[in-house]
Amino acid sequence: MAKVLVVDDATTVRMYHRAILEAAGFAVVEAANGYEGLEKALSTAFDLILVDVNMPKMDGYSLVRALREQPSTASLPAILISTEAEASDARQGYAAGANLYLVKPVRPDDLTLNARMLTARAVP
Amino acid sequence: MLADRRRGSDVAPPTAPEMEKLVDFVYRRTGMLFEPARHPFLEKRVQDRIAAGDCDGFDEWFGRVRFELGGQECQELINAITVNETHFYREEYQFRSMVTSMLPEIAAAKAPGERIRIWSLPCATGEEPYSIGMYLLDNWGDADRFDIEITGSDIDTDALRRARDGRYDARALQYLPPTVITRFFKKVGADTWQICDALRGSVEFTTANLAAPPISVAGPVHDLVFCRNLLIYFDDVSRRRAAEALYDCIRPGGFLCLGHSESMSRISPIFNVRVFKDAIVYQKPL
Amino acid sequence: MGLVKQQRQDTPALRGPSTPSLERLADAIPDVRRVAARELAGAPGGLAALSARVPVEPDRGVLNLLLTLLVERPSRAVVVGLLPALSSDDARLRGAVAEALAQMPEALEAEIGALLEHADPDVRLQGVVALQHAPIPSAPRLLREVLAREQLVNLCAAALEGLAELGGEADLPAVEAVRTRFPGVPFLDFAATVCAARIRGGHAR
Repeated sequence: MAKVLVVDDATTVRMYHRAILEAAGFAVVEAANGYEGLEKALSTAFDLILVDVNMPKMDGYSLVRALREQPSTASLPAILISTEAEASDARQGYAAGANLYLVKPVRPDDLTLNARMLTARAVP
Repeated sequence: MLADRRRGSDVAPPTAPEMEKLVDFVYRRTGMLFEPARHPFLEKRVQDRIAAGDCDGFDEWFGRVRFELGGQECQELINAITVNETHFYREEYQFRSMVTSMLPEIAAAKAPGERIRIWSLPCATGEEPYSIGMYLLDNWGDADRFDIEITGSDIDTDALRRARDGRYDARALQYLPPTVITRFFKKVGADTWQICDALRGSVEFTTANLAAPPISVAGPVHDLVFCRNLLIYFDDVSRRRAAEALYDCIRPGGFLCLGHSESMSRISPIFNVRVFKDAIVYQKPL
Repeated sequence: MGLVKQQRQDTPALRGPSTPSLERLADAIPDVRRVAARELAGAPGGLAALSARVPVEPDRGVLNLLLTLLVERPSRAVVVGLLPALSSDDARLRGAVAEALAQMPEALEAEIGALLEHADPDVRLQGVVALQHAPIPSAPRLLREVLAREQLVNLCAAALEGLAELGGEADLPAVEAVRTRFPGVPFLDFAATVCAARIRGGHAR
């Protein structure tokens, strides 16, 4: 079962993403801020990480950059989720190393589809 | 005549949604995550606090926890839900990481003859700084190549006096391997062991109050600081101040170890996260 | 070798050149800026200089110190001085400033109304988030008002997040109304459900 780390400081948002992902067959672990997300991502193997941009202590861009610097998480698929819909923010997201940039609130179908695509395993 | 105080058992237990609110808040505030298995423990403490505060119920009590500007009830709650038991080699994985990862890195950057400085604060009755000394003498092959200064500091002068005295009961020693007890302790009473003179004489004990910095006049000279299970009790502003004080006393590249449920994430973003085999620790940027 | 006692050598505090603290606050070396910041915190007019430096300080350690020094000396002037940073493009800066504001609840309360009615929705959003974290007694009422008047989805979402923790029975109608106000936004429907359950879950008052 693919494992997803959901990083967001808002409890309701974490619950929402958890509900969508569990319904799609993923195992979900939560982190309530960027540093905790970094610690968890570095100590457990995840298949995907969902990162909110607007978090205190360590914003989402900084978290993704930090993950890309560590060998164990350099290619961890990362979806950045933000309230910002400007193109420049998406560019910042991709420049930080995110695989995908989604705008909040995310629709269940969009999240499910993208999570499945990013965690699809190569057929041996 | 004073009316009888209510007891916790007279108060209705919190409902599931009330527990959800509380668990979220406690997690955000302290870093401690109360899993369902520990909810009965938390519920009982809440009932006790509601009774002690003579509150009408959970809402009134939680309102105090959330909105009291002095943070008194919040502090009472935290005191009630933290278990503060101290013994030698507590959270041993961090000492292991000290020897396998941190000290080698620190040593590699030292000039010959340059001291290694390790600070334990708060040190309470001394178990932590003595543990640091014992563990590294027992496990670090390079201990003889360096002058290592270990300091233990606390706000409680009685605790410091007992730390200097270095006498402990069996309960404090229960997690120590027998070889460590033989090497570093002598039995001085029916249930009392004392740290051997050589080790006692090697650790310096001083007063320091992390809630009222500055905590050191020496500047950023420490290579490794253990500050475990203290910051959890601080409010946001005090924690920020404490983090800056710790930053100011650690040398660039030096390390900081916090308690298991504490994470830097609740303090400040000024340290880097380092993931080692045995522990995740914090490092002052170079 | 091995364990030794302290030599008790006091290292003199880092002294900058005799240039005034304001100039050293913009020095190329972060440690120099740190010392200048501490000096300015205690000097008349110094806090305004610290607030002004916040939006342009590139080092996250120095930024954190600037905000810590300001948070330790809360006042309405300090809060007002930090507000422009909430409109920054820099997510890290916005987050750090919002966090600092929430740590000055009494001073923030005086300005929170202006924050919640700011023209920039990002600033309003940070205001709503601060309401959830700062111990401001009027927070539940303010969150209710935000929920009632906001048209933007993410602001209503943030208000619901706050009301889930701080709301009461009186907020239930506004919470339920969100479902019909924003049909076709699954997240708001979900958030309203969670919020209502948390509010209802308490004993009746």
